[in-house]
Amino acid sequence: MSAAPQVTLESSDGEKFKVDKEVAERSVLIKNMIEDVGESDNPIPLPNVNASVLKKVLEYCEHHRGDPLPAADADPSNDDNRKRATEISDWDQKFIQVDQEMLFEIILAANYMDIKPLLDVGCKTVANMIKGKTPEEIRKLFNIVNDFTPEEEAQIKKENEWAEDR
Amino acid sequence: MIFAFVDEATLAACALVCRPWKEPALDELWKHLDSLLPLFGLLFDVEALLLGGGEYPENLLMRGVDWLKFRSYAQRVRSIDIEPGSLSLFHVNMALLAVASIDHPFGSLFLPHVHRLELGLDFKLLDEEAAALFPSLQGLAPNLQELSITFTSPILVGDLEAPLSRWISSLQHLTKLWLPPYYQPKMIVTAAGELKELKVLKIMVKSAMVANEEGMQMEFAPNTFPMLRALAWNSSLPNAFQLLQPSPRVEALESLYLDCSGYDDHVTIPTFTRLIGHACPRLREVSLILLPDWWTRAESSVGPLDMEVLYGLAPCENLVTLQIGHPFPMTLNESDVHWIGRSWRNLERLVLCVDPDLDRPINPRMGASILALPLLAELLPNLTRLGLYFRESDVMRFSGDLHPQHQFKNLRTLQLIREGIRFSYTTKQNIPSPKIGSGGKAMNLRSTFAPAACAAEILCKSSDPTNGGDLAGFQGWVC
Repeated sequence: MSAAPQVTLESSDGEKFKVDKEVAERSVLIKNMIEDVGESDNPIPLPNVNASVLKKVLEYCEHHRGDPLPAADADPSNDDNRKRATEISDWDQKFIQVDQEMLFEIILAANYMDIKPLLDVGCKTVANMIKGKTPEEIRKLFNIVNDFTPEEEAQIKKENEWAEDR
Repeated sequence: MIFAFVDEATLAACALVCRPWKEPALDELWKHLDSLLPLFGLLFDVEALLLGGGEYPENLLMRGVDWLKFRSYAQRVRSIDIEPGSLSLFHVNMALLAVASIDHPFGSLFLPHVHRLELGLDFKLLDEEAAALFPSLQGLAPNLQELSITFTSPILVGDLEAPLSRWISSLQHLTKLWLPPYYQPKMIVTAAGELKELKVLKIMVKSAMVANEEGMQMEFAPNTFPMLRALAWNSSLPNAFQLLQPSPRVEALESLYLDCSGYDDHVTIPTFTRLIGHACPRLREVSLILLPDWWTRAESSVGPLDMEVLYGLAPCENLVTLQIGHPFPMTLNESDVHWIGRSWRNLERLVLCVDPDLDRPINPRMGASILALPLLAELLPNLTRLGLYFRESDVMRFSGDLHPQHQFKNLRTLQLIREGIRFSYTTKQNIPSPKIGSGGKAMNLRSTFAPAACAAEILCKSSDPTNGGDLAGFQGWVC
């Protein structure tokens, strides 16, 4: 039995990762690059992803290598998907238990590499972190400074009051 | 992207966090509305209006209100879903819309980016009020691409047809149109037929409401529906024959949902599916509801469908969905499953007569062979939905282990009937708390048919919940 075809990915800080092509192709970006350029021994450069993040992303891709690919036209903003915000599988929940900086790095990498299921896991995790919190609690969570004047704040609050008890 | 997973209350909080968060949070919050009142609340005190019993005060003019603020929010709205809700609320929504359509200063830019509108209408409304509704909608959302209209009462009053058809005619960018069940007035369908970009026309089939005989018998005029790709239609069987006579328009169809209930000529069904296969070879989705007219047919003259019905659809090589509804289970043997696997390797949804009329005499030999199940898993690897009736004469032989090649890889919904017991599975990522089904028992079991260790919720319904039948053996297979 012949070995599965492999590709080499190169992180922004020059570290190389040899992985099964099937695993790398969980990323639509890499899949398209391989299709455009053809099979090659040259490493595929990922200038926006450093080694520690890429290692984490590849761990996700390896675990989900056999999953069906998501529908291209799925719209997360409809009500059903909003309700699913808390639904993250056990393995994914453990995988995404990282510090805040790494969490946002993973989201950025998933967005850049076009790995929609990973992007969803990252976004859902942040969504769950802020769910039900007040503006002040959210500011505290992410260390954000309030740059609104009291008048501006009152006006925005009034115009969006209808949403508060939903 | 994160905000797409956040509820409305949290989005409102996010808009108040800081300036960089405000715009994306508000864009997401206002993207979809299920009432127009948040918009009109930007102009005046809507609460007071509602407390007034929903009567629209005649002296309330919208001139002089802050239309710029209104516009800053209105341009965020992409879709609106107005349910009938309470009658007074509906009155307020529609009355405000009517007045705003006169007073607003933006010409056709009132709701410039709304591309989807779901309108639930309650015909406790007076005829003249309802008839005034559609002219007031005209021009308000000029870029509408998807329109869905539902009624809470079965038949629409005739006065509405002319204004509704005029409104539909004005929606030149419409690509998808859903109309209520059995509602196919000629004037409206004709208006839809003139739309150059319309790809989907669906008369929703939800319940056996009073049929619109005129609409069900109509044919499409030549050169209408030039871009139609998906059609859901209620029709008598003879008229469905007429509707699907070969033509470029029919040949282009990719999705067909026909409710031909009430037919009185059982033997024509294989001929009918042959016509579908011949005239519509590009179909990817076929759903047929074929319930005979029991009033004119003797029970003994109606039997189960057989493979002849499927053979006719063989030219539709790209089928991903095949669903047939019929009062008797369909007979399927292993050789039949082989044929299905060879003909439609890409099938994702296969539902064949899964909901038979259990009050009719069902012969124990009717239905699919239980041996077909692992074969289906092997031959149709893309199946996400499967619905079958298993005949009682076969022995259930599941021992708990299946060879991996006989396991379903992508199945998400499984509907099975065996000895009158219905099994309905929907896989989920997380195990929900156990639910009690209506008239039966429920339990959560880990499924082996999805390799990602998904949980399966199993809901068992039976007229006799104590009749476990082969349930124990079946559980052995799925556990």
